[in-house]
Amino acid sequence: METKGVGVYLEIIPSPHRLMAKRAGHVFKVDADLCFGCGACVALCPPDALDIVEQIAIVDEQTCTHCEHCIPACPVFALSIGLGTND
Amino acid sequence: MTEVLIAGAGLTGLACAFHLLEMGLTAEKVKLVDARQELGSPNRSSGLLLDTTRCSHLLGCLDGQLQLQDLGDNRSGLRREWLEKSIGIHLTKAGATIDLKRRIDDCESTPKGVRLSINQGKEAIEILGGIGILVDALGSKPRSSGFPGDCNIIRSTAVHAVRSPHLQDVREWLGTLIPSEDEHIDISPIHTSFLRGDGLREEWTREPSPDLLHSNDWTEIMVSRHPPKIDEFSVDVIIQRGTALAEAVLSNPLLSKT
Repeated sequence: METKGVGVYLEIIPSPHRLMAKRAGHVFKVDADLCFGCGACVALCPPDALDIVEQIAIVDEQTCTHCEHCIPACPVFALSIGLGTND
Repeated sequence: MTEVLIAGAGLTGLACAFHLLEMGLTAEKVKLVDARQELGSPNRSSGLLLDTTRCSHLLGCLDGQLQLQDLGDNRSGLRREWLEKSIGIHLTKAGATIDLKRRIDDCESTPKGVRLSINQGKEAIEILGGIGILVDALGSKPRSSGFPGDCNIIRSTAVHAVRSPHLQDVREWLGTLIPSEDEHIDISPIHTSFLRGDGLREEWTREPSPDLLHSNDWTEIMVSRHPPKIDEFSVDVIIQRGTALAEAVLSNPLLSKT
């Protein structure tokens, strides 16, 4: 019977973008006043969404999965995920 | 305008840049580049200071996040990664530049000075004639292929190179981190175990015992290549090496003092 078990209908999509749930309206934020471009977050980022440009970490919001791996690694606590926009 | 380019943003390069700034060199003249994407070498090096007095000035200039664990006899333990980051914060606040993910792969003489090719020609760094000084702080890592070792450029007046001593003999070291408040310290040339300021016990060994290899207590395992004895790559020794490089730069008559 087709309705046996919920798992039958779960589809695992092999993409980091789909497996992580982003909360609506939340974005990854970098406090540019605190960040000094040490690259600790870049080294840890699983989907390689972070880069350092002119000694500030920047995020590609489309690639970022909000997995929060990088946040505790920041020595100056410049990273967060919260409501708002990247601007 | 870059006058002093430091290749390698590990503890040697960072300590070198720190000393240059302390001795009055303008921060805007100092640039660090590193091929890796993170400054320092997290979880790759021991946080043991065998003689804190050798680098007390540097430690005193940094903020209070270092969490030094006093091990007696002027010895201390800390998380080396945080020390490297703290020096990085100090340098960037002062105005120095740290550029990561930049590997020097070629250099050539130009009419104005020297042009370093970065990342297979995607970028370039110009060091203008007569004042440029390259500092090789690459430690035990292989040098960038383009770093102008014994090539003609060094013998010209355009640029001078200051090189850290090449480490011929490096061995594989195994390091572990174990949560422990045990203050017992054990230091021998090929093995060390000590408590760091962040409450973790760091253990480094060149010849890991089966007990150590099969322990389940680790929170981290670190494998790296270092000189044969622990006292050849302790934090204070590396800072001293960086300071010596800086002194060699400062004594170079090509360096403008303004």
